[in-house]
Amino acid sequence: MTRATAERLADEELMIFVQEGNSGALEVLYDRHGGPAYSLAHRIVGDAQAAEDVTQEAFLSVWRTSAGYDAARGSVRSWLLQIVRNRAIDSLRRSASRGGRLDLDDEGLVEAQEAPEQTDAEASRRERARQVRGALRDLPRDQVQVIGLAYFGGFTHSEIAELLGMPLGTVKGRMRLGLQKVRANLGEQIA
Amino acid sequence: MNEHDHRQWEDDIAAYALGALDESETARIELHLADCQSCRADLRWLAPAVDVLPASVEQLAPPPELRRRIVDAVAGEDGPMARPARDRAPSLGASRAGRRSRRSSSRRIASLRPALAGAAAVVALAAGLAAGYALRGEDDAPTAATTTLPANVLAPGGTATASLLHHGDSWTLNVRDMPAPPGGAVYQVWLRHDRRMVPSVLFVPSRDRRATVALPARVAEADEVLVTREPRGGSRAPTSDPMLAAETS
Repeated sequence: MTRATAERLADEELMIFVQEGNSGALEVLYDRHGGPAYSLAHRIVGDAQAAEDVTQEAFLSVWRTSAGYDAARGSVRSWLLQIVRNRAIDSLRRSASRGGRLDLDDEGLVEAQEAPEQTDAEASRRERARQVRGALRDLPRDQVQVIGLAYFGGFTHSEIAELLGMPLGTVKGRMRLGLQKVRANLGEQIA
Repeated sequence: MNEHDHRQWEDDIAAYALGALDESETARIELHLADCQSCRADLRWLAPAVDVLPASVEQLAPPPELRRRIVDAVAGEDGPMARPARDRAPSLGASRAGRRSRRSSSRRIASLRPALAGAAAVVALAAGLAAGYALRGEDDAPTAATTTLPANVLAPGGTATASLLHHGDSWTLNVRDMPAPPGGAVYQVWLRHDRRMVPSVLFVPSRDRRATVALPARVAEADEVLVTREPRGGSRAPTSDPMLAAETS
């Protein structure tokens, strides 16, 4: 398979080739999603070198465990970024630097900067990111806070309750309300 | 379960989707999810809100050397293998544990022979219609080493023509005059090994009702390539009668 052919394939089709051991297909996946993967890792671990290590681990995991990808359960991108998130949280815990990147006033959910657009696909992703940030910007700060601490900080709801000095039920309720609002704002386009 | 109990589960589902439950809580809610259709639907609805969170972060360009590191590391590996349990959770939120029992591989096995026999075959041999698309690119003309195999169109009244092109390790399915499937459905390719059906790639014809579908090299090991209409996202076993069939030799 040539590079040009691979670039025409959808992610889900590329995964078939990755499962076959075609490293060129994995390279195309990296070229499509390496940036968002690295950005997510950097956001969580807060360090360039650690973010590189996490991104590399995640793509190697995709390579090794590609047979486990199930298109019926979600997109390749979601699967990959979930692996990145898990690896990044593991890294954060290992390094004992947890909290260095996050503080209790963390509002990074709505402070994203935009990298220069280079391709139509990137432009499309930027537009989607703008929609997401718009959805998040509408959330009350206390809901953004608990979602950020859980997703980007890797804290459990019990830990967040302790950190913020609030009842467990309040934390869980804010998580739910926040996610519900984001989901509602995203509308059916994401479904 | 009373309304109050259920509301408690609802809050746990949000925390679960964010990966914010500890191991014992995760195990408990997964037991509940296995039995509660309402909560599973709730989780499916919430999951996209978690999936989009990575899009909210500052978008950075990874250093160019990272790509080379990954390519080199992959080159030094044997290739795909059985995956570890920790990566079994694809996209229903951020929880790190597997959430649904996966269908066993035996569920993939399906015999379509009766359906094949029953389908009204409108045979359109496409050997002469192969358009010369090969995996090397649309601009490349087929060479002497390119083999074109005809595909049978099985759908009643079907007008499509199709062919299977084989060039070295590359296989392509070319389809012409095939309408886009209705209602957001897709076409799915299946590789038949005797009576076993293995799911392969998905495709949707373009507006000109054509599709050039790159197939995995393992087509060579299959007895036949089949195409069915499936729901968006594809299926793990065929849910409709095959519309196209092409033997691989």
